[in-house]
Amino acid sequence: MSNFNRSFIPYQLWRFIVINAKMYAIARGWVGPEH
Amino acid sequence: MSASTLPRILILGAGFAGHTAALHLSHLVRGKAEVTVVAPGNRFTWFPSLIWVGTGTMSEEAVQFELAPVYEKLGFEYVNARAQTIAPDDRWVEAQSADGQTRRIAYDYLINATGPYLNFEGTPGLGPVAGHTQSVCSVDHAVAARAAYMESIARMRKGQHQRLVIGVGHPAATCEGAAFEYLMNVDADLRKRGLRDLADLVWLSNEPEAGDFGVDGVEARKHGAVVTGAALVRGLFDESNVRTLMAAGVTNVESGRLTYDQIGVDPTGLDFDFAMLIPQFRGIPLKYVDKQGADITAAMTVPSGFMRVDADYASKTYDEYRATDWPATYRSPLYPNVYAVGIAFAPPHPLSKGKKSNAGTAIVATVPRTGMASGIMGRTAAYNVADQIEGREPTHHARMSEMPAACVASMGHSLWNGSAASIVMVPVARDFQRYPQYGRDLNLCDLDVGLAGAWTKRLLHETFMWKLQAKPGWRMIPE
Repeated sequence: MSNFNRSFIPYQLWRFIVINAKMYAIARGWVGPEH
Repeated sequence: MSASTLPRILILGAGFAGHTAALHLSHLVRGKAEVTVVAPGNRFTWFPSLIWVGTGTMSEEAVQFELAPVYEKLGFEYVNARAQTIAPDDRWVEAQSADGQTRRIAYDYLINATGPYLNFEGTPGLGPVAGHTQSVCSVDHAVAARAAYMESIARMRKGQHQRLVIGVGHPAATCEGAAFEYLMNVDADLRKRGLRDLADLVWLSNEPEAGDFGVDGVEARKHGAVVTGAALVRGLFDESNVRTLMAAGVTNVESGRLTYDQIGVDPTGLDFDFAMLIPQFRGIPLKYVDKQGADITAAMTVPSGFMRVDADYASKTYDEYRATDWPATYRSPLYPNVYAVGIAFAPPHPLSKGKKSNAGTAIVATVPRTGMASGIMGRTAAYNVADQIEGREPTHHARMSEMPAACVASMGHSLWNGSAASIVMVPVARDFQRYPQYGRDLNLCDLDVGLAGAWTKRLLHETFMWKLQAKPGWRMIPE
C-alpha cells in the first residue's frame, strides 16, 4: 500500500469500517469455522 | 466456607481468560452456582496497551481497573491471593495472600487461568529487577521501561548515539507481537522528538523470519494477489531503518552487552544502551497433590509448567502436525471438572518452525495466546462448566485450529498521524485438511497498515475496558 493511502482519511475511514466489520463478524462466529 | 449446597466454581487468575470466564458465568449459572475468583493484586491490566505505558504515551492508571467492585457487582466472591497448591482429588486449592496468610478454598469445578510465569531466570542477566534489560509484561515493568527509555532520550538530547535493542530475550520466548509494537512505537516516538538519527534500532527475535509472530506468519488475499506478513514487516523495517537479527536467541546479558545464538552462525555479542526483551513464559509454579498428599505435578503439567488438557501431546514433526492436535474443550484428561485456559494450558507444539543453531540451541518462537484467543478459551470453559452443572457433557469447543485472531499492532499512538498493522487470521493454527493450500481461509484473513489501525487499536482499548468492567451492554462486545 502506498504511503499516501496509509494516512489518506477517506480511504482510512473505509478501511476502518471494513476491518472492524470483519473482526466483529469473525469474533461473533458469523463467518469462519464454528468456535 | 459456605453452607450452600450449590456447586462451587473456582477461577484461578483474572486476566483475559479467567476474567472472561467469570463474566460469562455471571449469566450462565446465575442462581445455580457459587463463583469465586482467586487472583493476586486486585487489578485487571489491559496488557495490549502496556507498550504505550512503556513509551510514555499512556499513563499506567489508564490500563487498569479494580477487580473487587466488578466481582461484587456480579455477585461473586473475590479472594486477593495467589494460588499455590491444587488437590484435584479432594477438590481444594490453597492460596496465599500478600500478608502471608494461607486459605484453603473448596470447589466442584476449577478453571485454571493463572497466566504466565515470566522466566527471567531462564536467561542470565535478563529483566528489570535482577538483570540489565527492560520488559513490558507488567505495569511495574512498563513503568520501569519508560524510565529507562527516557534516560536514553536524555542522552540523545545531549547528542549521544544510542543503540536500542528490542525483541525477545530467550531462544524459546513468545509474544513477539508485543515487542514489535514496542519497537515501532519507539521508532515513531523518536521521529516525533527529532531524535531518530541518533538511535540505532535493532530488532532481535527468535522468529524464523520477520512477520512470523510465533504463528507461522500470516497471509491475506489483496486485489487478487496473496500478500504475506513477512513482506509487509520487512518493508516496514526497511522503511524505518530498523536492523534485524532474526532466528536469534539471547543466551546471556551483562550490563550493556548481550550474547545471542543465531541459526547458521556461531554465538556472538551485541552492545546496547537500552534493551527491551520479552522473557520466556512458563506456567505459574503450582503444586498438584493427590489424596495422600503426594506430588502429582508431573502428571498434571508439561515440563514448562503449563497444564495438560485435551490436546494430543505426542511428539511429532512439523509435517505431522494436525488441527486436531489442539485442545477443544480445555478440560484435564485426568479430572473432568478441571480446565486450563489462556496461557495456563499446555500447547501441543509450536506453530512456528523452529531450528537448532550451530551451538545446538533450539530457537523457536513459541505459541502466543493473545487476549482474543485467551478470552475465547475462557468463554468456552465457562460454557462447558455450565453444561456440566446442567448435567450435560461439555459441548463447546474452540481449538486454536478453528478460532480466529484479530491483532492490531500499534506503530504509533496518535489518532492523527499514528499507524498500526491490522491482522486478521482464520484460524490461528493452520488446518491443511480444511484449507489445503495455506491452512487458513485467505478470504477472511486480512493484513493492512495505516491510520485506521491506530483508530482500531484505541477503539479496542476503550470498548474492552468497558466490557471487562461489566458495564451495561458488555455482552454486545465479543471476545
